[in-house]
Amino acid sequence: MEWRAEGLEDLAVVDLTGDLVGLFCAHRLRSFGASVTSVHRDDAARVFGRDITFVDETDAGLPALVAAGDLVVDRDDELGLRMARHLGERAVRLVVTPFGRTGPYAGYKATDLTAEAFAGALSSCGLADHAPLGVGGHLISTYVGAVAAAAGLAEVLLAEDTGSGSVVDVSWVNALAASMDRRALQLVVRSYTGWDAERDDGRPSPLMNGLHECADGWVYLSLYGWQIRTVCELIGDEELIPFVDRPGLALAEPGNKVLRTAVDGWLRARTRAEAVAVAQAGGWPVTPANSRTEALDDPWLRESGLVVEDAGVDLPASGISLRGVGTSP
Amino acid sequence: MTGPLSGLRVIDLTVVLSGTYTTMALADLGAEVIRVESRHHYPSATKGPRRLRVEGLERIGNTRRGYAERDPGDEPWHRSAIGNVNGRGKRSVTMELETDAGRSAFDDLVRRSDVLVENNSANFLERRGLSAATLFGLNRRLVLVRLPGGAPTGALASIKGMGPSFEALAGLRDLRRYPDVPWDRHPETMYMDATTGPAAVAAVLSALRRRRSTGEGASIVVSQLGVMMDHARDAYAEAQAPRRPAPPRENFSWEMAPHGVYRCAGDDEWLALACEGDEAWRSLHRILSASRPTAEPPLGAASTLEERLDRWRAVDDWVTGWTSSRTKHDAFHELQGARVAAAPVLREGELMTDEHMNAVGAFTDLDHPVVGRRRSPGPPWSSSRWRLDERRAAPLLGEDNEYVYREVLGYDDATYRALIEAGEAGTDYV
Repeated sequence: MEWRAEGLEDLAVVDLTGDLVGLFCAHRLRSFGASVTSVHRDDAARVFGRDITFVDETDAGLPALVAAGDLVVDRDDELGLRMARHLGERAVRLVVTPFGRTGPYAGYKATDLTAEAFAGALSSCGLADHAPLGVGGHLISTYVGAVAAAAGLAEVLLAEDTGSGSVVDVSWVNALAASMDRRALQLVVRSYTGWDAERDDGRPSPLMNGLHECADGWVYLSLYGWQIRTVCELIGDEELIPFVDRPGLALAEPGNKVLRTAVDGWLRARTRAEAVAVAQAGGWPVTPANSRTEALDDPWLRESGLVVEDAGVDLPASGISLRGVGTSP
Repeated sequence: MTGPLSGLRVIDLTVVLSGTYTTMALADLGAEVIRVESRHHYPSATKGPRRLRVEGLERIGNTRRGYAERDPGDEPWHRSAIGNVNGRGKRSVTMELETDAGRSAFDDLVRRSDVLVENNSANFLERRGLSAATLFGLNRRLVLVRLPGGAPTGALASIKGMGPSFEALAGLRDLRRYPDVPWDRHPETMYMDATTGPAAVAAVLSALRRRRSTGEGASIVVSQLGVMMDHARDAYAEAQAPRRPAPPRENFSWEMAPHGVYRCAGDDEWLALACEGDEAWRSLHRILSASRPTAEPPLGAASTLEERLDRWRAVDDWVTGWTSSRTKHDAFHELQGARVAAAPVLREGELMTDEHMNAVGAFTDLDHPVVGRRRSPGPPWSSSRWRLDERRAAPLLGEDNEYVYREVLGYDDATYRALIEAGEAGTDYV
């Protein structure tokens, strides 16, 4: 399918941040049709910059662009503060900073890794006998940019309702603390139980959730307790028969070892494609485990339009479709 | 002043985490969110096991064993963190989509609502006779939001999996590696669940803005897999034309050096450090060189990024020599004072008591009728124009039945009583 969204065709957005957080925010708003200008300059502009107009921050026309902007994104730095003087009455100023504009750590610096350390789930990500392991790439920046896009857009609706603009603050650390990449849930678990989440001790989970090897590659296997019966029937191993009526036996030793051995043996005797097809048809969530380059060639992702050619390379589509009533997705 | 979505009503048919987070964010923006729940279909993936003994908790993973006071009690769904985490600000009504009475009430609710969000299995609505055409027939101004894990059509329409399954399919697991650990022992994340909410909220806001000019609603599909991949466009571009070899250690960066997580004084205490450029390196060099006892610096203050990358191991040893003799908080403040990006790796308890996070109001204390007053992360934004003064904790099952049936739908007392007697409206599972 074609991933196309609309709704912001007459919205003018100016990104003054120069960082990936602001660029991703701009990219997201652009995907809904907004007209976006950005001062971003590095390589990321190539992959996140489709249909965005880039200008230099010293461009003499920048104050006029800001004055005409409905939503202006900055990071409270010298450029942002200087340009804020040009904002229109109905404009929304979206300020995205690492620790916010107030509080003891206002003005402190952050990168993806350090922000994740402070407020994200880094403390419990990784193996207990290794250093905590960051989520990788620039996924923290793009996540915060996505939160900022939603926050800024909400404020635009309010400004259009009332005829006057506002300032909305998004801090990286607040966004990460409220993130569903485990942290928000772990914080609530803490307030319920006093438990802090821990890094993995490397022992296999009885439910086997994780990567497993097939004859020609890897798959990711998910399993809930209520699916044990289905899995045992699907594999059809005689040793699993007792678990069909008493699935709980498969979660404690010695039953768990029997289950693990049977599942691993079943997977290794099949190609990835065979294992995934049979398991999915039986309602068992087994999916291929790809590298990034394999994912770009994955027939499922290609067929669904989630990978498209863009600027001479294969890139993900937005994954968002927004159509009027009566239009099929 | 009330929030940007004040006066709008959202029907919440979401499950597990990504969908429930989306509707909670809409409530945080002022919308009235009504969670429509079944008394007959217990949502164990969303609220945890229906029956659970205390001794069973040890077998459950970190994120699923969070019962208040570690006691599931007789109604574990009301005591579980995973069941309550995304319930902030919502109402709950029990309504059966498969019965005539329930379906009639649901149709009435659709007529009186602005947004419907669902992230159930494929064709969940269609199997209940609620196709998009039917829903728009009831309410042409409705914004219908669907959040499939894969895609709405083709092979991905029926694929089953959770966030980590799709992360594996998308190839994102290889973004984080311990070079000395086999691939299958690497940790998973719920990054996909995290990315869905902001994307879906932006889509709802765009559709509502569009509705102001067109007068009609919209059909939104947010592919959770696709949105997650969109967040990593740069990583996919890099994978096709790699400019550098695989990182030689965990948390390594070819863009910054030093860059990593370094051991501090204490048991399992760590500092994340990212030296963003030559100026930050000079500051770091000055601080570490001035400290005693510290080994001789492996490079001069004027060294370049390439030189620091070439000698990354020696630089790391030098940094560790400094961090390991300090607490993570002391190191954090000293480095930030010199404009070097660093942060302590904080556990949940440390973050919740952190001076800064509390000063900026990052957490909200909510009074829940069963688990009492509990702290949770608040909305990640703040506006100069509005704030919601009162936020409810997650609702109990059917807590708002009377409000929804009587006030929202306008049913008279006899009709409401009949729904209770028929088992439609209730406050427990059957």
